[in-house]
Amino acid sequence: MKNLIIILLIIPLFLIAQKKKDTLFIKYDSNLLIRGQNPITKEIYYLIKDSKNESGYISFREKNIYTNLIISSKKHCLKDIILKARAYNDKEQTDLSDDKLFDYFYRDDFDVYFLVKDDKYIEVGIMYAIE
Amino acid sequence: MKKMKNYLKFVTLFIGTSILLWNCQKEEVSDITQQNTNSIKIKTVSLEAAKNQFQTFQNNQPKAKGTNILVVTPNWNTLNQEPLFYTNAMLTKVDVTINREGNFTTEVLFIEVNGEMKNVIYTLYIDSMTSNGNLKNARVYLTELNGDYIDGYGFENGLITTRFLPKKDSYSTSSKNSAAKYAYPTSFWGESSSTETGGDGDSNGGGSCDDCIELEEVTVNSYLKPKTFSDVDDFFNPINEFTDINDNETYSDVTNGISVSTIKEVTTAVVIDPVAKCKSGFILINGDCVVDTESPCDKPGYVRDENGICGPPKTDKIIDSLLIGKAKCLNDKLVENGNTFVKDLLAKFNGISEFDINISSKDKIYSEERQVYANGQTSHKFGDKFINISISTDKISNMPVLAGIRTILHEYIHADIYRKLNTKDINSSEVKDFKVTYQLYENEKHHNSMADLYINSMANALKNIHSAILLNEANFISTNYGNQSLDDLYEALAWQGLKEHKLKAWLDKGSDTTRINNILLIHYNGLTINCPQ
Repeated sequence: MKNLIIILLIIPLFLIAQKKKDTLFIKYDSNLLIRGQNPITKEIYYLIKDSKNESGYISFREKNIYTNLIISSKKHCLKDIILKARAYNDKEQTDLSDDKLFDYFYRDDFDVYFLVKDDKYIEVGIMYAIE
Repeated sequence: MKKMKNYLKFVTLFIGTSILLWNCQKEEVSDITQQNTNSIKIKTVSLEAAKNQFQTFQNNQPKAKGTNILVVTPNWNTLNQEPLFYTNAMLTKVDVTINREGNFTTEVLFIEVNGEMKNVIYTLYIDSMTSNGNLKNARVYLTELNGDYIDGYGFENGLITTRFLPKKDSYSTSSKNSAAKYAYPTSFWGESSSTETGGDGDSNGGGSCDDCIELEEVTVNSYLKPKTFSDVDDFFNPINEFTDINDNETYSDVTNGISVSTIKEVTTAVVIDPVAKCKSGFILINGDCVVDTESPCDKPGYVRDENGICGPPKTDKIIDSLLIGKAKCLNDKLVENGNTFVKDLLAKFNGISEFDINISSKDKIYSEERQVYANGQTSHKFGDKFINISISTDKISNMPVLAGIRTILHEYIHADIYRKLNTKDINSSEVKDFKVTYQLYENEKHHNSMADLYINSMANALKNIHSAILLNEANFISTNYGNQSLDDLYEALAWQGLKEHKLKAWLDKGSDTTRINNILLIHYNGLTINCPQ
């Protein structure tokens, strides 16, 4: 009988543990990313190159850098992610549709994002901003 | 009364959401231990979404004859939301009547769990009450909207004492589509023989029938009972109970009909290290105790914030405490004097809302993409309930009042667009209609949509506010330049922040853009700078 209630109480924890997708590792691609620092907030950001500088844009916001992580998870190419999101407006793949890429990330709903550059794991948040 | 009722609902929701989620979780059990953990995401279902969801269910219900179809009739006037103890999400509920007889009350409850809207019929039998009006002995039952039984509990003196499970011989998960599912003779929707049915009178909703599911009372072990209502947090904090798990016991002794194999998967899949416990409000993730924002607080009604600290739930969902000086004054004027358009827009973020707004002042705002300083910016980070609006103190200090209000309104509209694009309530007409326009554009989608759909509303809002807070200025322009000139000014101000993005709607105006630009040349520098007190 004790087990009956314990099981009921465990179920939420069981569900908590369900989520498969938690962290997304993205290979740092210097051909696609521009690192910068906001002169006002001093925040380090990574913009995805876009031939059209629009008023709305998606960016990765640096949170932490780790160098001592041993991660076996797959590291995804940023280009592949953009293509999967169908976020290029042109055949030349230069005109980025920020909102499509944002939607893609939004739908996938990972909790933690890392940009992986050599042995550096840059934990980032994803932000959409518009003026 | 309310305390007990809320308590019962809390119990119900807790167990109900667990079981409702059951079906879609089974196949993922095997690799639980390899996964990172994360909190269940419980969110409020909006009133409109609840209504839509119920109506969708009704529309999809089969028009069967000869079966005792459960007919659920909501009283939409009672549709409301209640806070829950363990989350800042609200429980959406509506009183309903069903075509069954008995001394019970029924409600339909709505909640969103991990992105999916869930609903259950909640049936409450009040057996006795205390002298001060609280419930003493009661029974609660959960069913799907079509009557499929989920679970039930009995309470005595405020404690869970019994659980009602389908009898082994009368129920199996594999035969849930049987017509028998619509009646439960063990004092559940069947205390008196019912002849009223949703079909052609072939009733099986009464106190006895051949193909009904029978319920069996199972005594609940007392050690898990909450001693008092204030102990409710302990009761629902499973981590505190892990050391008592006895892996050798089997659930099959008491289930009597519920899929034993499913339960066994759960008991074997959840591997708990009895040593690695976290304190209240924290959860074990990869060996570390981190804040669990869904964890209940000791004080009923309180919720845990992102730092794990308990406090009353925030009801004001447009936070402007970091707005200062002129921006603060202008925002106050906009909120106080805004017309219906403004009030409706802001209402989407106030009270119970999917997104909240945090509007604040910043000395300067740097647009990283365009590498320019901006008047304002609206941004949102993944996982954050707040949409952040920043207003540049540097820019707004020299702006006319009307232009400053326009800047703030412009950013609120960005927040509204963002909300429409990312809401879970994708079936609402406003969202669908908006997306039709939004998808017309490849670039500058926000601003193109704003120009298409909001420009007239913005101009009208500015007109209303102008006459409300700067009536002399409005009269002066009207008297000396005419009403048309004044209306043109509002339109021209609304285009600020839009026209420089070479939007289609602006380009389509052709030579009319000259009129709009000229009107600003005439009036802009003469407009009042200081926010009127």
